[in-house]
Amino acid sequence: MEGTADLTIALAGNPNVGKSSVFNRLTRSRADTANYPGKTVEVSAGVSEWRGRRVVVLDLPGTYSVLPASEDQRIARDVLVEGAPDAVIVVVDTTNLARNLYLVLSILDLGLPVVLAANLLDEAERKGLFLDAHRLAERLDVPVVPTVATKGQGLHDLVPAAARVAREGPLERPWYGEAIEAEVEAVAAALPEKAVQAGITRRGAALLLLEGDPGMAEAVRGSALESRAGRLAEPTARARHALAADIARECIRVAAAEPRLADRLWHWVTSPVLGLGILVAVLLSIFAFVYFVGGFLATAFTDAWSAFASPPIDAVLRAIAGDTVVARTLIWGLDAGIGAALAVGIPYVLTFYFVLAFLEDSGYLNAAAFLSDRTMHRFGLHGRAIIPIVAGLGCNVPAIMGTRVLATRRERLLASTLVTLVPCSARSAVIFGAVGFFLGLGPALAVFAVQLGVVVLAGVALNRVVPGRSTGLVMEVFPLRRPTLPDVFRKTWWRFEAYLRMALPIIVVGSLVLGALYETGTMWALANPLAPVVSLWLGLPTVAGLALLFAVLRKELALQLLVALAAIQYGAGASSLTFFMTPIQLVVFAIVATIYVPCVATVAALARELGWRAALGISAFTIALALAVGGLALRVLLL
Amino acid sequence: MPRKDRRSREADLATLPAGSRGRITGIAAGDDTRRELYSLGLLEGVEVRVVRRAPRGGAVLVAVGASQYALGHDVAAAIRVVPG
Repeated sequence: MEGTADLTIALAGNPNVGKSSVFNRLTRSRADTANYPGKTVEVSAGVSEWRGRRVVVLDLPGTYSVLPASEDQRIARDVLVEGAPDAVIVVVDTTNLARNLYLVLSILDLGLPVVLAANLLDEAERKGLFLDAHRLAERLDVPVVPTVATKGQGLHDLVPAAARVAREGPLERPWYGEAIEAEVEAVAAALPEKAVQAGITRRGAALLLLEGDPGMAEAVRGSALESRAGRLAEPTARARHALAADIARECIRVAAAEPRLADRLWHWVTSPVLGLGILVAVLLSIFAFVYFVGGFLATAFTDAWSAFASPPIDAVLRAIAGDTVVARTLIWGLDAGIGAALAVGIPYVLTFYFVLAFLEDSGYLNAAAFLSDRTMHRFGLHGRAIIPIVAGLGCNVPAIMGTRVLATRRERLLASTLVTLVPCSARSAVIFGAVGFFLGLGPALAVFAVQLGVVVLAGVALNRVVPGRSTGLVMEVFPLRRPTLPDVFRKTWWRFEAYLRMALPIIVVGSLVLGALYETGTMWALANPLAPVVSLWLGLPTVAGLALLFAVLRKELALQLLVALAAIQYGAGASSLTFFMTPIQLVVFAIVATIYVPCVATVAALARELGWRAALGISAFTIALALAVGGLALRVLLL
Repeated sequence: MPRKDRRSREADLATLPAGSRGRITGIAAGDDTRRELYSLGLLEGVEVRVVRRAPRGGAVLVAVGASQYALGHDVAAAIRVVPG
């Protein structure tokens, strides 16, 4: 009997099995992130509809088992163990069934109703592997739906199957042999009520404890069961892998397969010399692509905005508020603010995300992580950290969120700090606009080189100073795959939307504050207090100091602000920066602007990921570093 | 002639040359790392193959069954294997 309540389905699976493809096609509308009942965990959620019921699909981060090894895996575990979903659809890579079944068995162990989506069937066939779906369904006692998510095949059966198992509940559960089962039973009987989460069975909770789940260990702290935490980690893993392998052997038929181009490409891409060369080439291409395509879009967009959006907005605001401070302030926020945000945000951030999604889906980023692992070690990180750090070139905000793939807080702290030092599009725009435009490409590249040096030195120094534990690289690698463009576009759009949602409000508010300070003249009040630092230490004119100070609200407006303030101070000729700033001053300005606190949106992202103390600490660090390097640069250049 | 002691043939995944195979005899790492490796199928008695190594103390690519993993140098060094 179908109920009318919401059906909540969790979508789980190993990383890179096409889970996102399934998610995209299962959900029509996107409720971007959902605060899962009662928790502060945020999971990407989508909404669909089936037979009059609302279906909520939760896209969990990819995991190999229920026990978490990183922050985002912790999120997946919490949803499964504490979120009590009505059913779980586990998306499985049919080309590697034995390994993928480990997760399926782990989730069955929890006592949750499961549907298995046997995905990547086309890949499997290419590799000469053929799946007997009926057999698999029999052995596991769960519905098995063969799918090719990228082509949309088989997906329409998933939700109905999930609704069915949600109603019926789990039947067979895995069996791991006398010895293990006896101890599991004993622990299950002894568990206190409060330690058994609502959606899982006693046996499931007992297994979690015996395997060393940190959450369960915490829940039984101080009781007699404390000593049992993790006692059976190895035997259970062994038994589960053995069962998974056994089932896979029975259900997969292997025909001969030819060696593939993808494997050879992978070989080249990870080889010491050639691989490194390719890596450098790829990084430069990313930069060039974003610069040119982004630049083209930026000009196009700015022109369009000035022609079509600016005049009406100005006209409306002036009609409402006349030519008053209020009107001009609002124009700052709503016209200049949004316009500039979109002129930098859309072209550069969007372009960058496209490139990133493309590289991710191709599997190339794993090769990059493999090659860079040793270097990342110097910074107290490992190879996977290179992905958020490179992502910081587009925009720091999502890059900081991307540090969730790292295991310990220390690593997330170090990686986030390095991300803030990576020049995002806004700051690159300042470098090109101030130094590149007036002094040439050479000096601009030199400023980027200085920035690279700062990142490296800061990384090494922080690694020595920050206490805590870092882990080593443990990462699955895949042969290179041709990315599916629709999925790349979807991933790009989703990330860009998240960036806009976070950044746009702060951008508008920041612009309004900036506008208010500027239009009311209060900005100048800070000129004197800043003088010692700005004039004496950095050798910059007062207006530059003010521009820097307030650019924290809107980094990409640093140049516009500088010009606007200079026009007030020096007169009309100041639209060319060289009118009131020497080349050395331009360089110092660009360097300081690039190093210190990216922008308030970044601080907000840091606070969300690491807490306010860390966010403010990192901000203070970058400010001190900016002043130090800026002052040093001044003195070096004057020699 | 006394049979060679197994211990003297033991090596670790960080030192084995590319292309060699071995059977895992033990993992000398912290609880978290070990749990993670277990979930990927790296357990005592499992056969692994070293696919390639990044130069000078870098990461190691290891094949286990149908999967391949990149392991940091220190992680690989903690996995002891008997070659062959």
